[in-house]
Amino acid sequence: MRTDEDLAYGIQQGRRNDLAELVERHHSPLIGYLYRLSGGDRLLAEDLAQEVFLRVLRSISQYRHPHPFKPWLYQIATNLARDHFKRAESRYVVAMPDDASSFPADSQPEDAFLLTAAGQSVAQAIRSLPLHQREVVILRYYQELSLAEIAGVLAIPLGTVKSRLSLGIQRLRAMLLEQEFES
Amino acid sequence: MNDQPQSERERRLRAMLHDDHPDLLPDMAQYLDAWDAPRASSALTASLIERLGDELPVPKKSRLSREMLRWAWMLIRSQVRIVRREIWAATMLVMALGTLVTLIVSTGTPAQGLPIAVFAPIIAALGVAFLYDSESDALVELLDSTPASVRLLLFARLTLVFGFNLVTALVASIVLVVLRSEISLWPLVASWLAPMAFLSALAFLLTMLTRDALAGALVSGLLWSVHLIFRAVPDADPLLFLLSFPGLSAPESRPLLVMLAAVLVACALWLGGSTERRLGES
Repeated sequence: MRTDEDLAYGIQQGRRNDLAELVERHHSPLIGYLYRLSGGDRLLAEDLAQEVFLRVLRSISQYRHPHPFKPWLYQIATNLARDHFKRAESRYVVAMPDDASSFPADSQPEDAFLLTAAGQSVAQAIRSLPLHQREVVILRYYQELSLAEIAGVLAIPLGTVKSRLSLGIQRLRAMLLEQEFES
Repeated sequence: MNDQPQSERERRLRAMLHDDHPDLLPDMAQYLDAWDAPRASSALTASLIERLGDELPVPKKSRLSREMLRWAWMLIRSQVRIVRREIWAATMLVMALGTLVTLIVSTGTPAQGLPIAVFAPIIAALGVAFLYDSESDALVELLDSTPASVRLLLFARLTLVFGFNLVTALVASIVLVVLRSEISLWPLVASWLAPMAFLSALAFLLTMLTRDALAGALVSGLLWSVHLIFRAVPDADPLLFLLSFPGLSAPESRPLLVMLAAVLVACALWLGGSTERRLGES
Protein backbone atom coordinates (compact mmCIF):
# COMPACT_ATOMS: atom_id res chain seq x y z
CA MET A 1 0.00 0.00 0.00
CA ARG A 2 1.32 3.44 -0.90
CA THR A 3 1.92 5.84 1.95
CA ASP A 4 -0.05 9.05 2.48
CA GLU A 5 3.15 10.96 1.79
CA ASP A 6 3.61 9.32 -1.62
CA LEU A 7 -0.03 10.01 -2.48
CA ALA A 8 0.37 13.66 -1.47
CA TYR A 9 3.44 13.85 -3.70
CA GLY A 10 1.37 12.33 -6.50
CA ILE A 11 -1.25 15.06 -6.02
CA GLN A 12 1.50 17.66 -6.33
CA GLN A 13 2.28 16.08 -9.69
CA GLY A 14 -1.38 16.40 -10.68
CA ARG A 15 -2.23 12.68 -10.44
CA ARG A 16 -5.98 12.26 -10.09
CA ASN A 17 -5.79 8.61 -8.95
CA ASP A 18 -3.61 9.54 -6.00
CA LEU A 19 -6.10 12.22 -5.01
CA ALA A 20 -8.93 9.68 -5.12
CA GLU A 21 -7.00 7.18 -3.01
CA LEU A 22 -6.03 9.76 -0.40
CA VAL A 23 -9.58 11.09 -0.10
CA GLU A 24 -11.01 7.58 0.17
CA ARG A 25 -8.50 6.81 2.90
CA HIS A 26 -9.12 9.93 5.02
CA HIS A 27 -12.64 11.11 4.28
CA SER A 28 -14.43 9.02 6.90
CA PRO A 29 -11.82 9.48 9.66
CA LEU A 30 -11.86 13.21 9.01
CA ILE A 31 -15.65 13.37 9.22
CA GLY A 32 -15.36 11.38 12.46
CA TYR A 33 -12.85 13.86 13.86
CA LEU A 34 -14.86 16.93 12.93
CA TYR A 35 -18.08 15.29 14.05
CA ARG A 36 -16.68 14.66 17.50
CA LEU A 37 -14.93 18.02 17.65
CA SER A 38 -18.18 19.80 16.78
CA GLY A 39 -19.95 17.85 19.47
CA GLY A 40 -21.89 15.60 17.11
CA ASP A 41 -22.99 17.77 14.18
CA ARG A 42 -22.82 15.43 11.22
CA LEU A 43 -23.75 17.87 8.49
CA LEU A 44 -21.28 20.42 9.76
CA ALA A 45 -18.60 17.71 9.92
CA GLU A 46 -19.25 16.71 6.30
CA ASP A 47 -19.11 20.34 5.12
CA LEU A 48 -15.94 21.02 7.05
CA ALA A 49 -14.31 17.80 5.79
CA GLN A 50 -14.99 18.89 2.24
CA GLU A 51 -13.52 22.31 2.97
CA VAL A 52 -10.46 20.65 4.55
CA PHE A 53 -9.75 18.69 1.37
CA LEU A 54 -10.19 21.82 -0.72
CA ARG A 55 -7.68 23.64 1.47
CA VAL A 56 -5.30 20.69 1.27
CA LEU A 57 -5.45 20.88 -2.53
CA ARG A 58 -5.00 24.64 -2.61
CA SER A 59 -1.95 24.47 -0.38
CA ILE A 60 -0.54 21.17 -1.61
CA SER A 61 2.44 23.01 -3.09
CA GLN A 62 3.48 23.85 0.48
CA TYR A 63 3.59 20.19 1.48
CA ARG A 64 7.18 18.93 1.66
CA HIS A 65 7.58 15.25 0.80
CA PRO A 66 8.29 13.06 2.80
CA HIS A 67 7.10 14.96 5.89
CA PRO A 68 4.23 13.12 7.62
CA PHE A 69 1.00 13.95 5.84
CA LYS A 70 -1.56 12.97 8.47
CA PRO A 71 -0.56 15.61 11.08
CA TRP A 72 -0.61 18.24 8.32
CA LEU A 73 -4.11 17.16 7.30
CA TYR A 74 -5.36 17.30 10.89
CA GLN A 75 -3.69 20.64 11.45
CA ILE A 76 -5.70 22.07 8.57
CA ALA A 77 -8.86 20.41 9.88
CA THR A 78 -8.32 21.69 13.42
CA ASN A 79 -7.64 25.25 12.28
CA LEU A 80 -10.69 25.19 10.06
CA ALA A 81 -12.88 23.89 12.88
CA ARG A 82 -11.53 26.50 15.30
CA ASP A 83 -12.24 29.28 12.80
CA HIS A 84 -15.74 27.97 12.34
CA PHE A 85 -16.42 27.80 16.08
CA LYS A 86 -15.04 31.31 16.53
CA ARG A 87 -17.26 32.69 13.78
CA ALA A 88 -20.28 30.84 15.13
CA GLU A 89 -19.62 32.20 18.62
CA SER A 90 -19.40 35.74 17.35
CA ARG A 91 -22.69 35.41 15.46
CA TYR A 92 -24.84 33.64 18.00
CA VAL A 93 -24.68 31.05 20.71
CA VAL A 94 -25.22 27.67 19.16
CA ALA A 95 -26.70 24.97 21.28
CA MET A 96 -24.79 21.76 20.69
CA PRO A 97 -27.07 19.58 18.60
CA ASP A 98 -28.58 16.43 19.90
CA ASP A 99 -27.16 13.57 17.85
CA ALA A 100 -30.39 11.97 16.74
CA SER A 101 -32.12 15.26 15.99
CA SER A 102 -29.27 16.64 13.87
CA PHE A 103 -30.12 14.53 10.83
CA PRO A 104 -32.14 16.05 8.04
CA ALA A 105 -35.67 14.82 7.60
CA ASP A 106 -34.92 13.42 4.14
CA SER A 107 -32.01 11.24 5.28
CA GLN A 108 -31.95 7.87 3.60
CA PRO A 109 -32.14 4.81 5.87
CA GLU A 110 -28.59 3.75 4.95
CA ASP A 111 -27.38 7.17 6.02
CA ALA A 112 -29.09 6.97 9.36
CA PHE A 113 -26.68 7.08 12.21
CA LEU A 114 -28.02 6.66 15.68
CA LEU A 115 -26.16 6.76 18.93
CA THR A 116 -26.64 4.29 21.72
CA ALA A 117 -27.41 5.63 25.16
CA ALA A 118 -23.81 4.94 26.15
CA GLY A 119 -22.60 6.79 23.08
CA GLN A 120 -24.75 9.80 23.90
CA SER A 121 -23.39 9.83 27.39
CA VAL A 122 -19.76 9.87 26.12
CA ALA A 123 -20.63 12.50 23.52
CA GLN A 124 -22.09 14.70 26.21
CA ALA A 125 -19.05 14.21 28.44
CA ILE A 126 -16.57 15.05 25.67
CA ARG A 127 -18.66 18.01 24.55
CA SER A 128 -18.38 19.40 28.05
CA LEU A 129 -14.56 19.47 27.81
CA PRO A 130 -12.93 22.76 26.85
CA LEU A 131 -11.98 22.81 23.17
CA HIS A 132 -8.23 22.53 23.79
CA GLN A 133 -8.74 19.36 25.87
CA ARG A 134 -11.36 17.99 23.50
CA GLU A 135 -8.91 18.30 20.60
CA VAL A 136 -6.16 16.29 22.25
CA VAL A 137 -8.51 13.62 23.57
CA ILE A 138 -10.12 13.11 20.17
CA LEU A 139 -6.86 13.22 18.26
CA ARG A 140 -5.30 10.71 20.65
CA TYR A 141 -8.06 8.22 21.32
CA TYR A 142 -10.21 8.42 18.22
CA GLN A 143 -7.80 9.48 15.46
CA GLU A 144 -4.99 7.48 17.09
CA LEU A 145 -2.29 10.07 16.55
CA SER A 146 0.89 9.80 18.62
CA LEU A 147 1.60 12.43 21.25
CA ALA A 148 4.35 13.90 19.06
CA GLU A 149 1.99 14.07 16.08
CA ILE A 150 -0.62 15.85 18.20
CA ALA A 151 2.03 18.34 19.30
CA GLY A 152 2.72 18.96 15.60
CA VAL A 153 -0.97 19.29 14.71
CA LEU A 154 -1.71 21.76 17.48
CA ALA A 155 1.70 23.47 17.35
CA ILE A 156 2.20 23.09 21.09
CA PRO A 157 4.99 21.47 23.14
CA LEU A 158 4.80 17.77 23.92
CA GLY A 159 4.49 18.51 27.64
CA THR A 160 1.41 20.63 26.97
CA VAL A 161 -0.15 17.78 25.00
CA LYS A 162 0.44 15.44 27.93
CA SER A 163 -0.99 17.80 30.49
CA ARG A 164 -4.07 18.62 28.39
CA LEU A 165 -4.63 14.92 27.76
CA SER A 166 -4.24 14.12 31.41
CA LEU A 167 -6.65 16.83 32.50
CA GLY A 168 -9.16 15.85 29.83
CA ILE A 169 -9.09 12.18 30.65
CA GLN A 170 -9.34 12.86 34.42
CA ARG A 171 -12.49 14.86 33.78
CA LEU A 172 -13.92 12.10 31.65
CA ARG A 173 -13.06 9.55 34.30
CA ALA A 174 -14.82 11.64 36.91
CA MET A 175 -17.92 11.71 34.71
CA LEU A 176 -17.75 7.97 34.15
CA LEU A 177 -17.46 7.37 37.91
CA GLU A 178 -20.40 9.67 38.47
CA GLN A 179 -22.45 7.75 35.93
CA GLU A 180 -21.56 4.40 37.45
CA PHE A 181 -22.44 5.71 40.85
CA GLU A 182 -25.80 6.95 39.59
CA SER A 183 -26.56 3.67 37.83
CA MET B 1 -19.60 -3.17 30.48
CA ASN B 2 -16.73 -5.63 30.82
CA ASP B 3 -18.59 -8.69 29.64
CA GLN B 4 -19.05 -7.35 26.07
CA PRO B 5 -16.63 -8.54 23.38
CA GLN B 6 -13.80 -6.12 22.69
CA SER B 7 -13.64 -4.41 19.32
CA GLU B 8 -10.29 -3.92 17.61
CA ARG B 9 -10.55 -0.19 18.14
CA GLU B 10 -11.36 -0.69 21.79
CA ARG B 11 -8.29 -2.89 22.19
CA ARG B 12 -6.13 -0.18 20.67
CA LEU B 13 -7.82 2.43 22.87
CA ARG B 14 -7.19 0.31 25.93
CA ALA B 15 -3.51 -0.01 25.01
CA MET B 16 -3.16 3.74 24.43
CA LEU B 17 -4.95 4.60 27.66
CA HIS B 18 -2.79 2.14 29.53
CA ASP B 19 0.33 3.77 28.09
CA ASP B 20 -0.84 7.30 28.85
CA HIS B 21 -2.61 6.73 32.15
CA PRO B 22 -1.82 3.35 33.75
CA ASP B 23 -3.93 4.23 36.79
CA LEU B 24 -7.16 4.73 34.81
CA LEU B 25 -10.28 2.70 35.31
CA PRO B 26 -10.26 -0.40 33.08
CA ASP B 27 -13.69 0.52 31.73
CA MET B 28 -12.44 3.80 30.28
CA ALA B 29 -11.57 2.34 26.85
CA GLN B 30 -14.97 0.72 26.49
CA TYR B 31 -16.58 3.94 27.66
CA LEU B 32 -14.83 6.07 25.02
CA ASP B 33 -15.41 3.44 22.34
CA ALA B 34 -19.16 3.74 22.81
CA TRP B 35 -19.21 7.09 20.97
CA ASP B 36 -19.24 6.05 17.38
CA ALA B 37 -18.93 8.52 14.53
CA PRO B 38 -20.69 8.49 11.15
CA ARG B 39 -18.76 7.34 8.12
CA ALA B 40 -18.82 8.94 4.71
CA SER B 41 -21.05 7.10 2.27
CA SER B 42 -19.32 5.95 -0.90
CA ALA B 43 -21.53 8.34 -2.90
CA LEU B 44 -20.45 11.27 -0.73
CA THR B 45 -16.77 10.39 -1.12
CA ALA B 46 -17.18 9.90 -4.86
CA SER B 47 -18.87 13.29 -5.30
CA LEU B 48 -16.13 14.92 -3.21
CA ILE B 49 -13.42 13.31 -5.36
CA GLU B 50 -15.25 14.50 -8.46
CA ARG B 51 -15.39 18.05 -7.15
CA LEU B 52 -11.79 18.04 -5.98
CA GLY B 53 -10.67 16.75 -9.37
CA ASP B 54 -11.51 20.13 -10.86
CA GLU B 55 -9.28 21.80 -8.29
CA LEU B 56 -6.35 19.44 -8.85
CA PRO B 57 -3.31 21.67 -9.19
CA VAL B 58 -1.27 21.67 -12.35
CA PRO B 59 2.24 20.77 -11.19
CA LYS B 60 4.64 23.68 -11.24
CA LYS B 61 7.20 21.78 -13.22
CA SER B 62 4.93 21.01 -16.15
CA ARG B 63 3.52 24.55 -16.05
CA LEU B 64 7.08 25.82 -16.18
CA SER B 65 8.08 23.48 -19.00
CA ARG B 66 4.96 24.47 -20.95
CA GLU B 67 5.89 28.12 -20.51
CA MET B 68 9.44 27.38 -21.57
CA LEU B 69 8.27 25.44 -24.63
CA ARG B 70 5.97 28.30 -25.58
CA TRP B 71 8.78 30.78 -25.16
CA ALA B 72 11.18 28.60 -27.21
CA TRP B 73 8.55 28.27 -29.93
CA MET B 74 8.04 32.03 -30.04
CA LEU B 75 11.79 32.58 -30.17
CA ILE B 76 12.21 30.15 -33.07
CA ARG B 77 9.23 31.72 -34.87
CA SER B 78 10.78 35.15 -34.47
CA GLN B 79 13.83 33.85 -36.35
CA VAL B 80 11.82 32.86 -39.42
CA ARG B 81 11.78 36.50 -40.54
CA ILE B 82 15.52 36.87 -40.00
CA VAL B 83 16.69 33.84 -41.99
CA ARG B 84 17.15 34.63 -45.69
CA ARG B 85 14.24 33.44 -47.79
CA GLU B 86 16.61 32.02 -50.39
CA ILE B 87 17.74 29.38 -47.90
CA TRP B 88 14.25 27.84 -47.70
CA ALA B 89 13.76 27.92 -51.45
CA ALA B 90 17.24 26.61 -52.28
CA THR B 91 16.96 23.77 -49.78
CA MET B 92 13.61 22.63 -51.13
CA LEU B 93 14.75 22.93 -54.72
CA VAL B 94 17.96 20.94 -54.18
CA MET B 95 16.17 18.29 -52.17
CA ALA B 96 13.53 17.97 -54.88
CA LEU B 97 16.23 17.68 -57.54
CA GLY B 98 18.13 15.16 -55.39
CA THR B 99 14.98 13.09 -55.02
CA LEU B 100 14.31 13.21 -58.75
CA VAL B 101 17.86 12.24 -59.69
CA THR B 102 17.81 9.48 -57.07
CA LEU B 103 14.60 8.13 -58.56
CA ILE B 104 16.21 8.04 -61.99
CA VAL B 105 19.58 6.51 -61.09
CA SER B 106 18.91 4.53 -57.94
CA THR B 107 18.75 1.00 -59.34
CA GLY B 108 20.88 -1.27 -57.14
CA THR B 109 22.93 1.59 -55.63
CA PRO B 110 23.77 1.30 -51.88
CA ALA B 111 22.10 3.91 -49.64
CA GLN B 112 25.22 6.06 -49.07
CA GLY B 113 25.82 6.29 -52.80
CA LEU B 114 22.36 7.63 -53.60
CA PRO B 115 22.25 11.25 -54.82
CA ILE B 116 19.96 12.23 -51.96
CA ALA B 117 22.66 11.08 -49.47
CA VAL B 118 25.15 13.25 -51.37
CA PHE B 119 22.96 16.37 -51.65
CA ALA B 120 21.30 16.41 -48.23
CA PRO B 121 24.44 16.98 -46.07
CA ILE B 122 25.89 19.73 -48.21
CA ILE B 123 22.68 21.65 -48.76
CA ALA B 124 22.14 21.62 -45.01
CA ALA B 125 25.68 22.85 -44.40
CA LEU B 126 25.26 25.70 -46.90
CA GLY B 127 21.99 26.76 -45.28
CA VAL B 128 23.54 26.78 -41.82
CA ALA B 129 26.63 28.70 -43.03
CA PHE B 130 24.41 31.58 -44.11
CA LEU B 131 22.68 31.75 -40.75
CA TYR B 132 25.02 34.46 -39.57
CA ASP B 133 26.17 37.34 -41.70
CA SER B 134 28.09 39.98 -39.80
CA GLU B 135 27.50 42.58 -42.51
CA SER B 136 23.76 42.45 -42.79
CA ASP B 137 22.70 40.67 -39.67
CA ALA B 138 20.02 42.23 -37.55
CA LEU B 139 21.60 40.81 -34.43
CA VAL B 140 22.25 44.19 -32.87
CA GLU B 141 18.63 45.28 -33.28
CA LEU B 142 17.47 41.96 -31.96
CA LEU B 143 19.74 42.29 -28.95
CA ASP B 144 18.13 45.61 -28.19
CA SER B 145 14.59 44.43 -28.73
CA THR B 146 14.53 40.96 -27.11
CA PRO B 147 15.51 39.69 -23.69
CA ALA B 148 17.36 36.76 -25.35
CA SER B 149 21.15 36.51 -25.60
CA VAL B 150 23.04 36.24 -28.90
CA ARG B 151 23.84 32.61 -28.08
CA LEU B 152 20.17 31.84 -27.65
CA LEU B 153 19.19 33.68 -30.82
CA LEU B 154 21.86 31.84 -32.81
CA PHE B 155 20.84 28.53 -31.32
CA ALA B 156 17.19 29.22 -32.15
CA ARG B 157 18.16 30.07 -35.71
CA LEU B 158 20.36 26.98 -36.00
CA THR B 159 17.53 24.81 -34.67
CA LEU B 160 15.15 26.38 -37.16
CA VAL B 161 17.33 25.93 -40.26
CA PHE B 162 18.78 22.56 -39.29
CA GLY B 163 15.28 21.34 -38.34
CA PHE B 164 13.97 22.50 -41.70
CA ASN B 165 16.80 20.68 -43.54
CA LEU B 166 16.20 17.58 -41.45
CA VAL B 167 12.47 17.53 -42.18
CA THR B 168 12.98 18.21 -45.89
CA ALA B 169 15.55 15.41 -46.20
CA LEU B 170 13.29 13.10 -44.24
CA VAL B 171 10.33 13.85 -46.48
CA ALA B 172 12.51 13.28 -49.55
CA SER B 173 13.68 9.95 -48.11
CA ILE B 174 10.10 8.86 -47.36
CA VAL B 175 9.08 9.77 -50.91
CA LEU B 176 11.94 7.63 -52.24
CA VAL B 177 11.03 4.70 -50.00
CA VAL B 178 7.41 4.90 -51.11
CA LEU B 179 8.29 5.08 -54.81
CA ARG B 180 11.19 2.62 -54.80
CA SER B 181 10.58 -0.62 -52.93
CA GLU B 182 14.30 -1.58 -52.98
CA ILE B 183 15.22 1.45 -50.83
CA SER B 184 14.90 1.04 -47.04
CA LEU B 185 14.19 4.10 -44.94
CA TRP B 186 16.56 3.70 -41.99
CA PRO B 187 19.79 2.90 -43.97
CA LEU B 188 18.99 5.86 -46.21
CA VAL B 189 18.38 8.25 -43.32
CA ALA B 190 21.47 6.97 -41.49
CA SER B 191 23.58 7.58 -44.60
CA TRP B 192 22.91 11.34 -44.61
CA LEU B 193 22.06 12.18 -41.00
CA ALA B 194 25.53 12.07 -39.37
CA PRO B 195 27.37 13.83 -42.26
CA MET B 196 24.59 16.44 -42.35
CA ALA B 197 24.97 17.14 -38.62
CA PHE B 198 28.75 17.31 -38.81
CA LEU B 199 29.02 19.46 -41.94
CA SER B 200 26.33 21.85 -40.69
CA ALA B 201 28.09 22.24 -37.34
CA LEU B 202 31.44 22.76 -39.07
CA ALA B 203 29.99 25.41 -41.37
CA PHE B 204 28.36 27.14 -38.41
CA LEU B 205 31.59 27.22 -36.42
CA LEU B 206 33.68 28.45 -39.36
CA THR B 207 31.19 31.22 -40.06
CA MET B 208 31.32 32.32 -36.45
CA LEU B 209 35.13 32.14 -36.44
CA THR B 210 35.73 34.02 -39.67
CA ARG B 211 32.55 36.19 -39.55
CA ASP B 212 32.18 35.21 -43.18
CA ALA B 213 29.34 32.94 -44.29
CA LEU B 214 31.17 32.12 -47.48
CA ALA B 215 34.16 30.69 -45.62
CA GLY B 216 31.96 28.24 -43.71
CA ALA B 217 30.10 27.25 -46.84
CA LEU B 218 33.27 26.82 -48.92
CA VAL B 219 35.25 24.74 -46.41
CA SER B 220 32.30 22.42 -45.71
CA GLY B 221 31.52 22.09 -49.40
CA LEU B 222 35.17 21.44 -50.25
CA LEU B 223 35.57 18.84 -47.52
CA TRP B 224 32.46 16.99 -48.65
CA SER B 225 33.43 17.18 -52.33
CA VAL B 226 36.97 15.89 -51.70
CA HIS B 227 35.54 13.15 -49.57
CA LEU B 228 33.09 12.10 -52.30
CA ILE B 229 35.76 12.18 -55.01
CA PHE B 230 38.28 10.11 -53.10
CA ARG B 231 35.60 7.73 -51.92
CA ALA B 232 34.91 7.01 -55.58
CA VAL B 233 38.60 6.53 -56.44
CA PRO B 234 39.67 2.96 -55.60
CA ASP B 235 43.45 3.48 -55.33
CA ALA B 236 43.86 7.02 -54.08
CA ASP B 237 47.08 8.42 -52.66
CA PRO B 238 47.09 7.59 -48.89
CA LEU B 239 47.76 11.22 -47.93
CA LEU B 240 44.92 12.52 -50.09
CA PHE B 241 42.73 9.72 -48.83
CA LEU B 242 43.37 10.83 -45.25
CA LEU B 243 42.69 14.45 -46.19
CA SER B 244 39.34 13.41 -47.60
CA PHE B 245 38.16 12.59 -44.08
CA PRO B 246 37.35 8.93 -44.85
CA GLY B 247 35.14 8.50 -41.80
CA LEU B 248 32.67 11.10 -42.98
CA SER B 249 30.28 8.58 -44.47
CA ALA B 250 31.45 5.38 -42.79
CA PRO B 251 28.69 3.75 -40.73
CA GLU B 252 31.02 3.04 -37.78
CA SER B 253 32.00 6.70 -37.38
CA ARG B 254 28.42 8.05 -37.26
CA PRO B 255 28.19 8.31 -33.45
CA LEU B 256 31.55 10.12 -33.40
CA LEU B 257 30.39 12.54 -36.10
CA VAL B 258 27.26 13.41 -34.13
CA MET B 259 29.32 13.99 -30.98
CA LEU B 260 31.79 16.14 -32.91
CA ALA B 261 28.89 18.12 -34.31
CA ALA B 262 27.63 18.82 -30.78
CA VAL B 263 31.10 20.00 -29.72
CA LEU B 264 31.42 22.26 -32.77
CA VAL B 265 28.00 23.80 -32.14
CA ALA B 266 28.93 24.43 -28.50
CA CYS B 267 32.15 26.15 -29.62
CA ALA B 268 30.26 28.24 -32.15
CA LEU B 269 27.74 29.35 -29.54
CA TRP B 270 30.55 30.22 -27.16
CA LEU B 271 32.00 32.41 -29.90
CA GLY B 272 28.55 33.93 -30.34
CA GLY B 273 28.63 34.93 -26.66
CA SER B 274 31.92 36.72 -27.27
CA THR B 275 30.21 38.64 -30.07
CA GLU B 276 27.56 39.69 -27.59
CA ARG B 277 30.21 41.00 -25.21
CA ARG B 278 31.85 42.93 -28.02
CA LEU B 279 28.51 44.37 -29.10
CA GLY B 280 27.84 45.37 -25.53
CA GLU B 281 31.20 47.12 -25.28
CA SER B 282 30.87 49.03 -28.55
